[in-house]
Amino acid sequence: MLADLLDIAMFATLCGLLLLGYPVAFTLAGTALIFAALGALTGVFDLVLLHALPQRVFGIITNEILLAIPLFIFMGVLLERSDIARSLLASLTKALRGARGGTGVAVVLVGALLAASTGIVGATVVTLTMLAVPSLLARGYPPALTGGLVAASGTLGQVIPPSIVLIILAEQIGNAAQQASQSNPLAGLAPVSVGDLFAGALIPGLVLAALYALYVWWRSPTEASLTPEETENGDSLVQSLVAPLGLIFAVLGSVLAGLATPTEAASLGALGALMLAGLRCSPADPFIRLAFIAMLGLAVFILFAAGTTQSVALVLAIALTALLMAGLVTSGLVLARADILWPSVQRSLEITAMIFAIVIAASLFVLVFRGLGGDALVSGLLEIVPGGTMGAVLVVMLVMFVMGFFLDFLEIMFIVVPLAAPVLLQMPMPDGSPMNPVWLAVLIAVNLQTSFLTPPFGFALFYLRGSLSAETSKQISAAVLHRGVVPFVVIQLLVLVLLWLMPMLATWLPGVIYR
Amino acid sequence: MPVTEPHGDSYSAHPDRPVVERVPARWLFTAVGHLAGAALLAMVAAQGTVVLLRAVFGISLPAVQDLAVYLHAAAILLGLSVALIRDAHVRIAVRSVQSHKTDLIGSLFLTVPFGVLLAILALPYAQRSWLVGEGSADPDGLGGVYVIKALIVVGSVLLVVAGIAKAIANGRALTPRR
Repeated sequence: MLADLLDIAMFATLCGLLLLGYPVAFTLAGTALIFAALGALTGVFDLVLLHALPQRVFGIITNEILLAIPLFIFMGVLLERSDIARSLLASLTKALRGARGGTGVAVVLVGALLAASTGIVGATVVTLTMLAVPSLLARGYPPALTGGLVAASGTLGQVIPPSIVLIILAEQIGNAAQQASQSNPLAGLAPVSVGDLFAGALIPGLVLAALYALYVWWRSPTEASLTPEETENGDSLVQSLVAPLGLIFAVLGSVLAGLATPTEAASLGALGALMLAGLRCSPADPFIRLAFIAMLGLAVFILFAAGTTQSVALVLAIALTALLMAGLVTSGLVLARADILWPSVQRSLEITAMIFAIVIAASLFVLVFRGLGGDALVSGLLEIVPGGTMGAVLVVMLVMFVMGFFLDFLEIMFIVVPLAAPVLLQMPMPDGSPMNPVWLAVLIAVNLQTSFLTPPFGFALFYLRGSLSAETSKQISAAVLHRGVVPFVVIQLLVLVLLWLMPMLATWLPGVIYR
Repeated sequence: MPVTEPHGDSYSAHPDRPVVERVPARWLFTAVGHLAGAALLAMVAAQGTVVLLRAVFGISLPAVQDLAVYLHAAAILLGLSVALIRDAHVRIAVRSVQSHKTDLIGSLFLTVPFGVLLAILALPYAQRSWLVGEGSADPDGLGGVYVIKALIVVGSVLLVVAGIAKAIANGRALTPRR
């Protein structure tokens, strides 16, 4: 009897142990091992199952789709360290001065842009906190609004593509859809790609950012004017905005247009970020400048003359490629001399290792949880929920939202999606059509975004409080911050309701692009 | 920018989590960190080359593509222990200052057993692959998949060493100085 409860006990123990504050990845793995041993002792767990672990690890670290993760991380870290974010905020603030809520709206815009370019919550929140909090407070924004705004804008990176979380979620939902189709071929599920999910999350992400901006505009005070220093500072809007925007459009556009896989787009993004950072460090370098021209030339070549056999065009393409490579190497050298390259590589390594450690550990956790009979438990629970499919989806959403108060996006996704999604995806919608996996994935993404903001364990809140200066930290206390994020969490829930009522928001764009 | 600046010889992630304890065998993980960083940077270069040549000239280089994947895998496997030493793994932080007691117990009972288990299971797995000289799935690929499988063993042994080093450091921090 006691042995039957091991799966529930395992889950409860995990939550308890996580709160002790030991690194999440090893808490997941260690808990799994403890319960595998307990299960083996009571005879409900077969230790042979653990032999799947090396193969799983190998599968995860050699997965070509997940290769996009370190590439996007490297791109984000480079953009962050080369001050591109700082100049973006400075010039947007300058451009929006005088308009009501100008600074606040600029923070949302920069949050959305950084989100689209880096997708790393920690980096975005820290950057925004250090750049925007002092100027928001100086303009007369209330501390609660300031804190909530910065934390919420920093988390937009999770839902606005290209986001690392969306890449992992696409993998998970794709596996779940495959599993559901195998056990129920009549469900008629379409396979899910990362591109589908990027396309599906784009409109909801933009709606979310627009609602944030609207809220800030409504709540904003009459702003104090800029100090002369601030009007002086900052590069021209064109210079500081066009380059990152071009990079974002190139990366996102090539994925959405089906020209490149996410991994390919991510490596273009990493190379582009390397050149942008190099140019910022050494604006007059002729090699880097020429490389930008070469890059534009190559883009034209790829779009209009790819596969040509004309020797003139080929020679030109070879010359342009050589120029581009020379510019890339020069950028690397410039950044190495400025002591930016190697610290960025090391930071990217840490973030990559941290994310993959959680992926590996969660896979072990789910392996053991299944071995203890946990998946039967979950599907049993979901089937007895009243209200059919929509009731089951609602329950899963509620569970995820509540878990978000204690756990983080990655852990919830890795534990809940493999267990619940295959069951959910087999259930028909009320009108009898199969459930759209993209819709479910976008619901999950928007829902889990709240996990960063919900106290007491919201990561965006930790990062924000951790990077406040001594005097701003007195104004934005933990209690003030917790109060400040409430409206933004409400806005997220509003978007969830919108998605619930209008699945078109998530399913229309992928349908148009990938027909 | 406190978060982006390295603290001394480490590149610690969290401004509120300065590395306080002296970790034994630090040189080992500094070296492993440089090795893994080199693998990551080489991966960016290899993957970039593959993409560029495919997009512009339509040339596909399966061997270089394999190389990029191997470098990525090597960076992760070596990076696991480095991230542990530098406290870069995400925690659910209730307190802003880490508890040495939690870290001591966690290292010994959560991290080390996981590393030991992975090493024990991965050893025969890598041996099998090594003995048959397992190649790539793509016949034009780089081959030598057994190297990555062997690196799983290396990475998990390093993780065990890092876990023990962390346990020692936290144990030292707990015992009052004489």
